[in-house]
Amino acid sequence: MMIIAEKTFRVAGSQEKIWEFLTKALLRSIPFEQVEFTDERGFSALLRLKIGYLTLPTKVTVAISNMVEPETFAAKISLSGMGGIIQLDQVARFDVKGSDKAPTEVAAKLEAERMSPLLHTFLLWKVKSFARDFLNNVERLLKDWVL
Amino acid sequence: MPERLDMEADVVVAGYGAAGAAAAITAHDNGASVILLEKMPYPGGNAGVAGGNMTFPRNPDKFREYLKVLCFNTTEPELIDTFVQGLLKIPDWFGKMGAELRKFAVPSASCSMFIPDITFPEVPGGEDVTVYCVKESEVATSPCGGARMIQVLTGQVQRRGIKVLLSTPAKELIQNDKREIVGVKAQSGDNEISIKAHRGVILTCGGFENNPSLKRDNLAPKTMLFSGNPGNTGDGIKMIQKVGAATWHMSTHLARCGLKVPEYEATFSPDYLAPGFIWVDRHGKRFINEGHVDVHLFGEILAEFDNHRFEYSRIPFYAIFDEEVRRKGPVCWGVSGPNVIVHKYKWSSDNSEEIKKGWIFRAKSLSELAKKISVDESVLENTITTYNRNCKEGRDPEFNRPKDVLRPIEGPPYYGLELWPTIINTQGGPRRDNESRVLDPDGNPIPRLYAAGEFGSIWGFKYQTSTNIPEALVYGQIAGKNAAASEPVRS
Repeated sequence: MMIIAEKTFRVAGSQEKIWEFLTKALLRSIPFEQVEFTDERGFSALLRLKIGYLTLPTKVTVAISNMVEPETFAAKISLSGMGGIIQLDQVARFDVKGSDKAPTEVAAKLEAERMSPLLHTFLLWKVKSFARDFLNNVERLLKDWVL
Repeated sequence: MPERLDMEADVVVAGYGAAGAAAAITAHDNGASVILLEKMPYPGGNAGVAGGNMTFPRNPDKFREYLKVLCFNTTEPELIDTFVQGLLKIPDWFGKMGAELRKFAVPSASCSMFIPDITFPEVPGGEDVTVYCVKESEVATSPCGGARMIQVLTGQVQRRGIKVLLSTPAKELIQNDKREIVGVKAQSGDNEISIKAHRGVILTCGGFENNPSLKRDNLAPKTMLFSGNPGNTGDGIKMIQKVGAATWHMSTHLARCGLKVPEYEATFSPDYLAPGFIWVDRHGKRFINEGHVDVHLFGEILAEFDNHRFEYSRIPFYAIFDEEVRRKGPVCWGVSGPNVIVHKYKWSSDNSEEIKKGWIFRAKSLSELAKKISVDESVLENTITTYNRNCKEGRDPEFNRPKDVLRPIEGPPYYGLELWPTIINTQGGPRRDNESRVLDPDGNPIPRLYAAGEFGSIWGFKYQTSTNIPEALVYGQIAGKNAAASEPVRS
C-alpha cells in the first residue's frame, strides 16, 4: 500500500460534532456527480477528472469498510475510466480523536491499494495533488461548518 | 355461520407483512395449522418497502419510561412494558431463523432529511438507543432493510409449509352467536371463500394510508398522499367495526413529503445531496430550515393551517433547486418505497429522464419557474434573492439553516418539484391489550380475535423512530402464540 496523502488537523468542535459533519464533508470535497446510493453504505458516482485541458469522465465507487461512531471512518474508493487505463483502488481512513471538549484531532490518510501503470508512471503527481486537495477541502469545510 | 366452508385451519392470519409473518410463524411453532391471507399479489406489507429499522435500548427501564411519556396516556403502560420485554428478545428470534441484525449506521449525506436514533432527545430516558436492521446475507440480499427482513420472514413461512393465499383479501369476520370470531370471508378472484378458524383469527392487515375517505375523516392535514404499500386501504377497520370492536389511535400517523406522479400510486421521497435548494410554500415563501428535518416529523410541519387565507399554505409546496443539485444525483431516494422495491423504478442518476417526463420542472428563469409552479413571480424572486444574500453572509436569520447546507441557488437553469405530505404509515385500528386481543368499547376482549402491527399499533401520540417494525414483530408473536394456545371452538 502506498500512502498518497495524509494530514492531521485540529478542529475547534467536539468529536460528536466533527463526526456529524465528516461524511457530508467527504461527499462535498470531491466534485462527484450522479451519486447513486447502492445501499446505505456505498454509492457510485461520476467524477470529471481535469488533467490540463483534458476532462476525463471517471466512474467512482465508494464502499464503507469500517465505521465506528464517532471515531473511525474508512471507505474503499475505486476509480476507473478510459477503458481501464485509469484504475485506482484506494482506502481513505479518518480517525477522529477527541472528547466532549474541543478541539478534536482528525487524522486522515489515503492509501493506494492498486494503481494502473499509466497513473503510476505518468500521473502519480496528479493523483497525489488531487488527494491533497481532497483532504484540504475536508479540513476547510469542517472548520467552516463547526464555527 | 356461512353455509359452505372452503378451508379450515387452527389460526387464520389476515395480512402478510412483518406482523402477519411473525404471527403465522409463531402460531405454527406452537403447534397450530395456519392459513395466511394477503390482499396483494406479493407479501411484505408496509414493512417490505420501508427502511426496516428497529430501535433497541441499552437501558430498557429508562427506554420504557421514555416510551410511556411519548404515548402521552394514549396507551396502557403494561402494553409498553410488554413491548420492551419482547423487543429485547428480537435479536435471538432472528438468530434462531438464521439471520443477524447489524447496526444501522447511515453516513450523513443528505442535505435535508435525517433519521435520528433518538427522536425526542429532550425527553428523559431515550439516551443510548441504537438502531439496527437485518444484516445482509444469503437469505437477505436486498439493499433495502425492510425488504431484507421480509426475505427472512417469507423464507421461514415457506420452510414451515404455511399455506399462503396471495391476492386474497379478507373481507369479513365470521362471528358466532357467542361473539366468538370463528373464521374469515375472503375474496379469491371472483369468488368469496369462507375459511374456518378453529382457534383464532389474527388481523395484521395494515393501516389506511391509501384510503382517502378514512384519511379525510381522521387525519390532518386533509390532503395526504402515501408512500407505503398501496394495498393498505384500511380494510380491517370495517371488519372490526362490524363485530363491535373499539378503535384507537386513529389520528396518529407518520408523514414525510413526497412527489406524486401520474404513473404510480405511491409517492417518491425527495432528498438532496447538494445544498443549492430551498422549499417554498404556495405563495413562494420559505417556511422552515430545510437543512435539518426529521423525516418522521414532516407531516406536522405541513399540517399548519392558515386561518386567514383558509388554506393549507404548504400543501403543496415546492422544492426549488439548481444545476449542481440536479447533477449531484437523483433527487428522490433509490432504495426503499414501493415504486423502487415493487415496481423497480430506477430514477436517472442525473435526473434527466424525470425532467423529460415532466416530473421535475425545468425553467430558464425564475419567472418562468414561478409560472410553471403557479406561485407569484415577484415573491419567488424576492425569496431567492434574500436567501442567496444570506448565504453569502454565511447566516440564515429567517430560519437558522446551518452553515454546512447554506449555499446560494445558482441559475439559470432552475428546477422545481411539487411536493405533498405523504403518509409513511398510520397507527389506527382496533384497540388491543397486551395479549394482542382485540377489545370492545367496554374493554372486554372479543373472543378469538387478535390484532398486531400498524393495524392499531400501541403508538398513540408521538413516535420514536424505528419502533413500528419491532412492535409489529413483538405483538405478532404474542398474537400467534395466544391464538395457537386457545381451545378449539366448539361447533
